[in-house]
Amino acid sequence: MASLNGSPAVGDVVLDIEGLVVEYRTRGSAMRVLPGVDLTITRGEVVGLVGESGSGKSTLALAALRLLPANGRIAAGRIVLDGTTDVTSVSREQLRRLRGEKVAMIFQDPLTSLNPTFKIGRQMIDVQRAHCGGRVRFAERKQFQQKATALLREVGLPDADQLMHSYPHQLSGGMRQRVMTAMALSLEPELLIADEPTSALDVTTEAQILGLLRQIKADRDLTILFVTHDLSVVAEICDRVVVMYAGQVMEQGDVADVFERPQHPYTRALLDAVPTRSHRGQPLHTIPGRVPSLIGEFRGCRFASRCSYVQDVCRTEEPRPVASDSSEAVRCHMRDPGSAYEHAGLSTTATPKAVPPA
Amino acid sequence: MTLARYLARRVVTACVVVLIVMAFLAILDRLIPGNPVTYVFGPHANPALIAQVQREMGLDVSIPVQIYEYIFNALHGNLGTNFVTNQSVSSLVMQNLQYTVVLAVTGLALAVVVGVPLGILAATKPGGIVDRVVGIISISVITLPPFVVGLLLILVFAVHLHLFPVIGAGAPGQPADDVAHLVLPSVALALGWIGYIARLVRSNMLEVLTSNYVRTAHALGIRRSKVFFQYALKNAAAPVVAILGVGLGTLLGGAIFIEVIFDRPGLGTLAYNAIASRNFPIVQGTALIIAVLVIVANLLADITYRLLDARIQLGQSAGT
Amino acid sequence: MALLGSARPDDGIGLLDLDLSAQPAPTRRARTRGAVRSLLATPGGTLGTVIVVGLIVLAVFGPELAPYSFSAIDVNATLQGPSLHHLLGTDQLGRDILSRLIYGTRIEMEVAVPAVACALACGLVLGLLGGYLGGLIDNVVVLVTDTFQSFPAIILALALLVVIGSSLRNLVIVIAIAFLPNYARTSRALVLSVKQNQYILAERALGASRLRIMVRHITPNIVAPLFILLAMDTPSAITVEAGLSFLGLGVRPPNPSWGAILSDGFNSIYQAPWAVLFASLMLAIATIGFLCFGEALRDVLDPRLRGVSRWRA
Repeated sequence: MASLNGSPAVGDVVLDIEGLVVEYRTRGSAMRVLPGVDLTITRGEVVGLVGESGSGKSTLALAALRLLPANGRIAAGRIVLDGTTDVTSVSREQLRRLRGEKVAMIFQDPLTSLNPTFKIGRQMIDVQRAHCGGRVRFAERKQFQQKATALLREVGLPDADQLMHSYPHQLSGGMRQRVMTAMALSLEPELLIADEPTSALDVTTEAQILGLLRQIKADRDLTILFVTHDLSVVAEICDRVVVMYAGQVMEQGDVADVFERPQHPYTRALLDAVPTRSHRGQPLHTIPGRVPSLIGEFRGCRFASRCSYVQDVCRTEEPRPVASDSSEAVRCHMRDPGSAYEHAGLSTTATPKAVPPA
Repeated sequence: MTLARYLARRVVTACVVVLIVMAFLAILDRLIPGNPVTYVFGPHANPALIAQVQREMGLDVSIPVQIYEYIFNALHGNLGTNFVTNQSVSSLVMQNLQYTVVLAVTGLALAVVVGVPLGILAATKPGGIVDRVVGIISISVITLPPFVVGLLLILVFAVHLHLFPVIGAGAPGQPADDVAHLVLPSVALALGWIGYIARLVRSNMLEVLTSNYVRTAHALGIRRSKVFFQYALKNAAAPVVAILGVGLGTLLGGAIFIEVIFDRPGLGTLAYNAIASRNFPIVQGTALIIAVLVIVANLLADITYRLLDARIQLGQSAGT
Repeated sequence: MALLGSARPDDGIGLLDLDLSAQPAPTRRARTRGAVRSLLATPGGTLGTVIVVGLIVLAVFGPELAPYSFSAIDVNATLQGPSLHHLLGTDQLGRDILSRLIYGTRIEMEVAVPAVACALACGLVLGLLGGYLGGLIDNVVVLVTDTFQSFPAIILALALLVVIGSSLRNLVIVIAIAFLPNYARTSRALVLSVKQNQYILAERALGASRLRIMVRHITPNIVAPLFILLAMDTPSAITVEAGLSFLGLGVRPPNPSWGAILSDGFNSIYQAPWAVLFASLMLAIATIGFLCFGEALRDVLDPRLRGVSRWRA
């Protein structure tokens, strides 16, 4: 429900993920990549989903549209769009229709994500055709073409007419990503999921694409879920940040707040690891250890093996998400006044430091 | 480089290869051990015959001249004369060419028409029953060479079932009869390639179906059938076209056995009989025509492949 | 860009934990045993290895294993079906089919294996010369390869055999020539891809001669796929030989090449199909065996990723 003066109201939820469990089948055993994730996105915000490789962030994004590979499956949970449609339980045909119309997705590698043997125009028109529900008459075909060209111009591509007749490999990486964005916008979706759209691009092009995303967000009042491993990108374009580790949300909250005073040791470590000018001359901070294996049952906090503030309770009990200071929700015994963590000598507002390298 | 320039280069290369093939065949008779005349006519030939044979085999001139003369004659349609009956080799070859070409092309068409759908079927549900069955059948037929399949088919159909005719190519002027006579031979010829193409299409399709652009198509709501038959198939089919040139070559090679086994007229039977009588010019001419056919087939396959896959057309690799 | 996480395996204290108890590199015997085990790991691999070994045994010990001589004529027992005396029946001259097939194995292996090995050796040399030296030599190699590949193997073999006559030695030569272009082309492609590697450039910078580079550095790195090709081509060579024998251009009778057995069987196919059936079966088994062996070999020498999954719609 929008408020009377037209600005997005709190509670106008575009995407609500509850208890999502995703498993991958590998040679007999099942790997539980997401053990039960909750995530809510309200209209008009840009949410950054951050984590390292193996954190489950891409899986979460793909699961939202049921695009998991054949050996992956949604074992439990709900993914509710607009408060009305549960993606996990709709029919295949309904799913096909809401893909592109309600939610659209753009991917990391724009070269392999576009069909190399079809022209750009053909691929863009195909998207529109797939959603027009029936036979396409000649007049409509013209319309689709015009709309496609207009979209290409909107994403900042010159020579849109020329581009319609080109093949993907004839364009640069940045141009291809713009084309993918244009394709995603064809049906005016309300939510755009961007799965590491700039990871394969150089810094300059990345800045351009981010600028483009900002622009289309403003023009179309788009809600964006931006998946990335790069904190600086999150700082630049996101309103809210969700930090994932080993399949769980460790911390989430307003970007400025969380980055200024991170409540979770992992978040702080991530931030410390970003090389900045103030660290010049010093060795880079890293997080020792590696992401735990996701096969089999888990006990305790998933970050325990790498955390510099670990205590016994962290290894035995899984921390629950609590609100704390700058975070809307943080999953850490240290921030949970009700947990068995020994808070002695530790101010709850203190921000943990990462371990400097040995 | 542009498509036109590439085509021109390919055609020129093909022509050069044809010339080299001719040169090779021209001097082949110099490899005959011992006396070439006794090779043809036995030990009691008279001198006039010796001189005539030497002239006809081009052995009375030097190698370059022999090559030149052969190529010159060949390009003018003169492929020498049959040692035994004095007929022109070219007329003999031309008479029999049609039968062999019909057989080989039918076999190739069969391989594609049956193999591609089988491969697609197997790819729709990998690991499923259909996939396993198709897989086992493909592997089994690949392992049997055409002449063995031909023999087995004769065993089954002619000896026991009496369903299809096994001898000859059918009475002239009766197309239905021709077709009936074509069934077993072309199936025997094509069976191995049916399996091969089915496997190729299956593995290409599976690879393409895991690609990112198929994922994008699904992500934007394009119908599954359209994604499968347009987006995926076009990319998976291109390599199959490329291999058809090789296929025709293999089938032309297998045709000789099929013709002999099924007693059909054609270049194979021609060559087979020529071998028995040591009739070298016929073998030479037959080999030349077949080689030319193979070169042309490969050229056409290559062109079609490039037309299908735009990346290669414009000289770019997939990784750019 | 940010560096997140480190790959150091330790317990979180931040100290590098050097593993000083590292085991020594596996011995050659252990590696061979490991390789053999991988060959036998899959059902296909086991099947292939068993068949190939079986064929080799038959080829070497054929005469001892066969119940009869391959030329033992028995006019009272012609065209018989399988029986206690003749497990696979007899042919039109009363010769035992089983024995002829066993003797035939030796002929097939004697022809096919040296032929393909020759093709590999010569093709490797041509590919090295063309691929590494480039320029005019490469153009010539490519042209020659293309020329010979324009002939279907049988036709080329036919044309050559008509001229030079058929004998065991000539068969090997002719089949080697027929298979040579494929090896030349493959090794040339491999050489071209390996040529750009850093260690080759380093060797050149150190002044190694071209010959040394080709032999010591490039060849060891490209032989593996060629050997796999050899395993896969052996059945094709056997088939070509059988085909040539079938047409009467192979080894002279009464030598029992499988093709000759098929040819005799074809002549009496209406009366007794046994020769055709069992010879076909033998050929099929040999082909399947070598193909499976080749695939298992490929998995051992060049493990590929398994388990590709489709994007579910």
